Amino acid sequence: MDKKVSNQILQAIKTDNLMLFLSHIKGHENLCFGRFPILSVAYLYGAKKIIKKYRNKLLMYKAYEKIDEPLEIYQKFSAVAGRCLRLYVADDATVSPIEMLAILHMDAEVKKIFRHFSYSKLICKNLQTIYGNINLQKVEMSGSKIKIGMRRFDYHQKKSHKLIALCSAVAIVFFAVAYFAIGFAGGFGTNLSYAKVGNQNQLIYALKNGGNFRLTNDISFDQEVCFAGFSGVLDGNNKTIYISKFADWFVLNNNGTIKNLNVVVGSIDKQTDKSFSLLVGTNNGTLQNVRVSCDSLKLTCNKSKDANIYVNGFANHNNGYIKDCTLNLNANVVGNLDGECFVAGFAGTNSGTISGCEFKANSSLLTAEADVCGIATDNNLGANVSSCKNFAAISQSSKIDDWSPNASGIVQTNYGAVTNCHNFGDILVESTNSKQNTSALVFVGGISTTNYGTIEHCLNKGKLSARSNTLAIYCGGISAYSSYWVQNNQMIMPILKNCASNSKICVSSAHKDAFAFVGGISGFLWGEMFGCYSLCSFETAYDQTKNFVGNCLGSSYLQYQFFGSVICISASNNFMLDSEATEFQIGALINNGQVVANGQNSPSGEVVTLATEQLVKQQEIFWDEQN
Amino acid sequence: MSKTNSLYKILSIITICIDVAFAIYFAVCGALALTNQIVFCQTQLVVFLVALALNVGFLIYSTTMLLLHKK
Repeated sequence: MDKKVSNQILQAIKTDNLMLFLSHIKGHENLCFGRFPILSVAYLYGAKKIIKKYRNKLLMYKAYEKIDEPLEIYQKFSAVAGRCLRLYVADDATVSPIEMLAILHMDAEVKKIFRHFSYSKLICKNLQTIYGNINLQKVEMSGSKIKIGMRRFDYHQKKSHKLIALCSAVAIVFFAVAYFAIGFAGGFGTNLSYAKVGNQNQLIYALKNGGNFRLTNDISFDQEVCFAGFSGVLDGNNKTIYISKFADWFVLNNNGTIKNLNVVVGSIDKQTDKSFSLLVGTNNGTLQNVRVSCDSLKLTCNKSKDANIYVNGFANHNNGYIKDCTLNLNANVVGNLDGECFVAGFAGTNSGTISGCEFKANSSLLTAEADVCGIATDNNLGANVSSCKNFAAISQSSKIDDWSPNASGIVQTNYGAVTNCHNFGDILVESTNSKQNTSALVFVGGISTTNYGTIEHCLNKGKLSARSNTLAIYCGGISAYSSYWVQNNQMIMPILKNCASNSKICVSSAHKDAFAFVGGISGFLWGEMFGCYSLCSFETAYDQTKNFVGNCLGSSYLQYQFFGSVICISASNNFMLDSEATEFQIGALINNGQVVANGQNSPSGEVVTLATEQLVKQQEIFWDEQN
Repeated sequence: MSKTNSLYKILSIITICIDVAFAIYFAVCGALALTNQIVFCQTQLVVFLVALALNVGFLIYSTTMLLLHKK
């Protein structure tokens, strides 16, 4: 064979030059450089393109056309073969492609090729020797299959893997120790381990990002802050957040839990055209054991785009829980707007639950042209206000036409349930409205002004006062006005159950048509009343012209039926203290907005009048709550 | 050194680099958390879990390889 051609082929293999290889290989496919067939040389030099193109074809050859072995091939082979070299010392020995692969540790390729071609006993023996004795790998051959075990690591490989394992193990231990050490010191921010918050920046982070946090220090805000929304848990740990400059809310939307926290707000004197709350705008989560205090809140509510403005200590809208919270607040709110302004200690609208809350003594809510009450303005259907106490003084002054001033101790309008609530604060409404023949009315109630739901086991001990120029007045120890409402074509009756009133009720009106309906339990009732008692005294005496005072009810509805007429009350087991101001249990009966009958007593003993307080206290229904 | 040996060497260097980076992160983070400058919270938990997962992965890989190639 032309030495020039063989050199060109070797050159092509060394450089993996497919074109050069193609141009010289024809007719020399079985060429063997001494002990090395072309494919073995290609494997040795890693000529991938040539191997890919010619591998199957070159593997077919079992007999070779041998030429002189170039020294450079031997040198390269001896560098990689190591102890395998001794297998091929004989001149007639051949390093077949599969043996070359085994020497080069290309085990996967060996398995692949072995499956498709049969090999001589010598080759199989050499493979056994290469793998079993030299590489120390397990090898099993059966038919066309060869199983090759994992290759032992050399020193460097073993060292690298040991280093990785050691580093990883050390890192795992280090990270675990570091993480838990920091976590125990700073908190993990999980349900089980709250992240500790000790300064203003951390609190800002907490309220912006949400999570589980616990205060470790009192924190002050000198600048106005209002956080859009909070989700997670903020445990105040009975620490205090001081806010010297207040925006309209501290947190606009609470979807998490804020608990065990004191919030002290500095004096506020501002005008607003939107709702205002010392803690949150809308509460969809839980506010628990939070104590809010503000010594002076002066607010003027101006005309706003919204129909109603709510001013509150805890939430404008409560859809979640407000539990065991207290409020210290002295507020002076002026409603100066087209819509209506409502002021309440804890919530504007309540669609959730407010329980165990207390509006503290020495607090006050004084308003002008803004309806006011101690706990919640609107207690919606399905909502609950329970075990709440109001000690704050509550009053509203009003002079604008067609405005009906409302004031009460616990809720203003109730469609839900008010249970176990007590009012100890004095309540006053003063209307200087001079417009005559107006439909506006004054409502003053110890627990609620307008009641369409259930009031159960509630007590009023606060003094109730209503003074009016031209407006008619409804005033009652529990509710000012309790009447039915219609839902799905059904009349839903209000219920007053096991309620008690023990206070002084002072009502006066100037104009001759400004009627006053005053009762120890309710100013007006069309509904149900069970197990209630009143120890109220009345400053204004019953007369037949405009002051309709009943020791139980100021008025009720007289319904005419074909067989006569009935008073629209379902009642039993009610006991009232006799009063010098009135000899009647019901001040007047109303039909179609007109007084159709003067003072009445219950026809069948549903309400019993007793001469002394002692006698009332002897009744089984009597209960009292000391403040 | 063969190509595979270089690969293992690179892998071990990567492991060390990653671990050093995490160690620095935790050191800085811990110092800031302990001095009340940041809140130690979910972010750090995620980083910790990633670091842990990587290292457990490395550990399992290297131990398995050492065992397999010993047989």
